[in-house]
Amino acid sequence: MRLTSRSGKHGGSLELNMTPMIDCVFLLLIFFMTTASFVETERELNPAIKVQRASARAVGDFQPAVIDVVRGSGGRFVYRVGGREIQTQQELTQVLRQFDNKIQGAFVRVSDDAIFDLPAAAIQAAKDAGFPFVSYVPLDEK
Amino acid sequence: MKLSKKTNRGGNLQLNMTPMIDCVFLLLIFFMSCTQVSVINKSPLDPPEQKGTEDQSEATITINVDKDGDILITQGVYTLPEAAVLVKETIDEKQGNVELVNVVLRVDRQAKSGVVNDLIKALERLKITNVRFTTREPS
Repeated sequence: MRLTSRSGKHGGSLELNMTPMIDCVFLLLIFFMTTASFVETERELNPAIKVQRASARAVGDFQPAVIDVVRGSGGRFVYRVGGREIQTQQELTQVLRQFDNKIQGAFVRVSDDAIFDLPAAAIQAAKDAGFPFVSYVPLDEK
Repeated sequence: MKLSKKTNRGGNLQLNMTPMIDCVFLLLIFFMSCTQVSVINKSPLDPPEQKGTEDQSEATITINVDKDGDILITQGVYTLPEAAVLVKETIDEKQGNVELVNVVLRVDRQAKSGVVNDLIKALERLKITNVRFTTREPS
């Protein structure tokens, strides 16, 4: 099997024509440069989901942390924890940190009209406060 | 201003292409490795700005909810019952094992939670008890 080129054997210098390769590489480069889209890194919040039922409303022996994302007395959406209205995520985190019984988890009950930024902040606040389990509960307003 | 006088005096001009080809190849490899070929599951929307609890992991089904409350799955607009059927089909593909179905909800921060609540109720009816919400790291 002869692999060596004739030109090499006959004393002529072997020259590779690089032009087509460079053309292809430039084309590929331009293609990837123009089509590249740099996607922002995203993170995840992992709440369990629960649906409110009549039986679930009867609270047993334990009192888990319940955060309601509802319209407050002033008309704006607030976080309501045990009748107390909280305006900011930072304040909510501080309030939730004071709960002793974190193992029962926290429940974020969300009104239909609230923008999603608010329940996401409530879930984050509960996680930051040390609750291992956070449940998202659609608030039954009917 | 004298430009390239020396080379024109009989000597043949030879450009050294090696460094340029090196750079071009490096750029090519960079762009090839950075390019996400398939972003079809992700609709352009603005998730809540929260640090989240974990890094993004692979999803079996990604449900997007834009700020108008439209449900988007793989770039198509779905109604709630249609989305539920799609999730049911995904569960059936996994032989009914809901533990193997990772549902990720990408919800625009300005979207009304009513759509999310309806989705959650539909998922709960399909025995899915764990969903993950997508967030965007604060800049």
